[in-house]
Amino acid sequence: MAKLPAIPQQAGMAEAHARRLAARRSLRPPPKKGGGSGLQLFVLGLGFIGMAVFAAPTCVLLVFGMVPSIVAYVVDRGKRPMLAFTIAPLNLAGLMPYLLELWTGHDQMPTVVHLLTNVYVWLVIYLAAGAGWLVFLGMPQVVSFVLQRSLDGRKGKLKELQSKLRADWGAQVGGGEDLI
Amino acid sequence: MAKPLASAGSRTTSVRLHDRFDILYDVPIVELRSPTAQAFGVDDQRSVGTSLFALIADPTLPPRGQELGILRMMKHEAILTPIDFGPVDWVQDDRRCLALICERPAGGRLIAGNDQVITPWSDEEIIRRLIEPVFPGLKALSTENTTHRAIRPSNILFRDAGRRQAMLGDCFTAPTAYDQPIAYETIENAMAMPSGRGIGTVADDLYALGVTVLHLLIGRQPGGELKGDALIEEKIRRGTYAALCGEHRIPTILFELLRGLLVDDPAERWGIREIDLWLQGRRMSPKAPPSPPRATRPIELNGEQLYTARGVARALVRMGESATHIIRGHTLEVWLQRTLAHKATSDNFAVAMADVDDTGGAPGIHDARLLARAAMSLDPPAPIRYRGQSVLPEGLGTALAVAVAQKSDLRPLVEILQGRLPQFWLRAQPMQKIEHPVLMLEFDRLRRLLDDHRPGLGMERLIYDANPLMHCLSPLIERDYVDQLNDLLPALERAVAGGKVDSMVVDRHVSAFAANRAKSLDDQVLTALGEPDPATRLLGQIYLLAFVQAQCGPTHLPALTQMLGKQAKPVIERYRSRQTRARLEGQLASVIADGSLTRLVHFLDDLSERQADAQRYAQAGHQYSRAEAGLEKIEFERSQIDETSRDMGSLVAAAVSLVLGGIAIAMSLYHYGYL
Repeated sequence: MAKLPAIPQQAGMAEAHARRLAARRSLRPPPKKGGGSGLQLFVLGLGFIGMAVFAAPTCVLLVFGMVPSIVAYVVDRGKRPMLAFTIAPLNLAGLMPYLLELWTGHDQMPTVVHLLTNVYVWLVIYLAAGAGWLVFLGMPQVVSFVLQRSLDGRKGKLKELQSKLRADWGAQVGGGEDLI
Repeated sequence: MAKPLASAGSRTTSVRLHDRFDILYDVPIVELRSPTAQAFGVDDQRSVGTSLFALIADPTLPPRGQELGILRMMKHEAILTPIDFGPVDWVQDDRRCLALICERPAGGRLIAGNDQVITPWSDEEIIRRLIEPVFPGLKALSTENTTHRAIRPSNILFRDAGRRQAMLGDCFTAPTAYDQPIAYETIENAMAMPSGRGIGTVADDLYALGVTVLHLLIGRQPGGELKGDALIEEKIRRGTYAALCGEHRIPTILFELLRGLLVDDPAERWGIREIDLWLQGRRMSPKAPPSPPRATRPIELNGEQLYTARGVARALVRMGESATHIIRGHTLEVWLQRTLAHKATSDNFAVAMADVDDTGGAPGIHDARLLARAAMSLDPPAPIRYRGQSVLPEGLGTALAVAVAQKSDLRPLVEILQGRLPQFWLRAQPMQKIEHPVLMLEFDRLRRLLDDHRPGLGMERLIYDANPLMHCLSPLIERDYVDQLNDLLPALERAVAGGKVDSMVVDRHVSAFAANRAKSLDDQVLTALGEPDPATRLLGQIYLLAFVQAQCGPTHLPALTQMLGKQAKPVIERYRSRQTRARLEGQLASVIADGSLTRLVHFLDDLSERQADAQRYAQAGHQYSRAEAGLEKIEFERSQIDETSRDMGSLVAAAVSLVLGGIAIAMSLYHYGYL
């Protein structure tokens, strides 16, 4: 069959294409976290059981202290659980002083109980996790602002180049055929 | 030809030609003037004792260009030959005219006019005073393969004061045989109009010599009271000898000569050899010419009873285009085949009817062509007769030039060429000559030339090609009598400086004249002249004039350069770069001030600059397209910005969180002394 001529893309077609892609993406069901990650879950469970056996106080403190991250991991339906990845480091940073206190103390399980019954400990841990949540919520706006600025800058430069070309070569440089 | 220079000499009533000859326009020489040229006295600045006179040619008629050159080289005492010639400022007519300097014949003109009645000459006088002195001239012309075609008593001069030695007068200031009365022309030439008779052959000159002899013998113009068509009819009916001699008694000594010279069939007519032998005393009896085929029964056309094909042809021509129904009907064809029974004529007629070359034109034109072809097939030696015009193929160029110069209707002459009638005439001739194939090709070339409507070609070019000395007929410079390329630019410069031209200095005549004289002119220049784009047209004009300036000068043409340079804006705007345009516009004034068209054309149309401009323009176009694509991409990215921000924001948030968390953990570890 003869090769068909390439049909040039009309103005606005790119936009429509993008909209179609976005719609298709929103219709796609979120990928399952199980399946491929089953092995990961198994390894994680095995690690958790090991830790429960050999470092039960740390394990208890981690389980209670990292609840915000665990919740975030559960509720984040995206391909990559970025919410959990954002909350977890700060959540862990909030928990770290108490973990260190636990590891440096002698009577470990009572220390855990003592910590878990202290409202200020909870406040520190959850505030740190909340900071992570705020970072997650605020960062797209910051990025959008930066991207907008960047696009405006690029557009300005290109418009300026076109104006200069028109000034040097006339309006025909932007359209029509080369008559020479 | 030397460059003409017209300036006042020592006298205020003279004009100087070529820094040598002072033409005294207050000293007219009435007895030496011809119908197409006035005669004046001449002072030669380098006089060698020869008395000279000047002929001032009628500027509306093309001189015989080729013959003029030949005659100038010949310098034969039996023929009036020009010593020098060139255009001069002719105050009397307030224009420039062609002046020809000739040696002044001491004995003046034989008779003032052809109608003048003189005392008949004796046969001995005719031989001694006319034939013997003139014959070497005719012989020399024959050797040079040219003709005089103006042999008649009123154009016979005497080179000696005693009027014993005749010589042939002016034959170069007007087209061939232009002033010849019908009596002195052969039947075929007489049928042609004066401007369309063609160069002819020596046989035509000898025929005219025969009639001149007869004139002197009887003391008045032969043919009696008959004029025009009536005389032609009489010649056809009775033969020239009988028609012109009438009842006059011809002396025995001249009888043979006249019988030999006045034979209507040129093949049977006495030639140079026969006259030479006759002058040596050898007596010959001319052969009786074969009579034309004659039908046993006549055909009746328009009330006339006609017996010969020539008679039928003439009757058809007289009837005009209404004769086409007769031509297309069966009666004439049957009469030709059965009654006239001349196979060659009926074959020719059949070819005329079925000529496949006739392809176009309005019905009227088609009928006129058919009539012309039919007439040619019935009477092949006769001229082409088409819509009131009657020309021999060789005279077509001259006829066109005269028609243009005299502002008469050109259309029939142009249609003759377009209808390939000259080619038909050549094919119809019973005796095919060696030059016919060459002429056929030449007419094909002229027709192609005519069909090419670009300036520099077409009908105007045809005129200059067919008339080598024809001056430029452009209305701007017609009065300047520009007959050489050297004079073209000075004349145009004067016209521009005199305010005669607003914008278009190269019209169709100027371009055709320049293309004819400058053979190496690039065809693209002529194409550019015909382009609809004003910039290309202007550039074509400047190129043509710059080419002429480079070939012939002069180096300084301020008015022309100024006028063309002022119009150069569209040419400059052909450059795409605004900077280049601004630079050229800035420099234009200094280039114009230089007065050189060559520099102007190089300045306006520098090839390397144009190429660079085109290249840079293409690059700019690509840059613009890339910028356009970039802008589209930006708009696309902007439409995607929410999703992108979300994706990228979550990643950045994770990274920020990781960094902050890492710092906080590190501080905790440090606090507890782990770091």
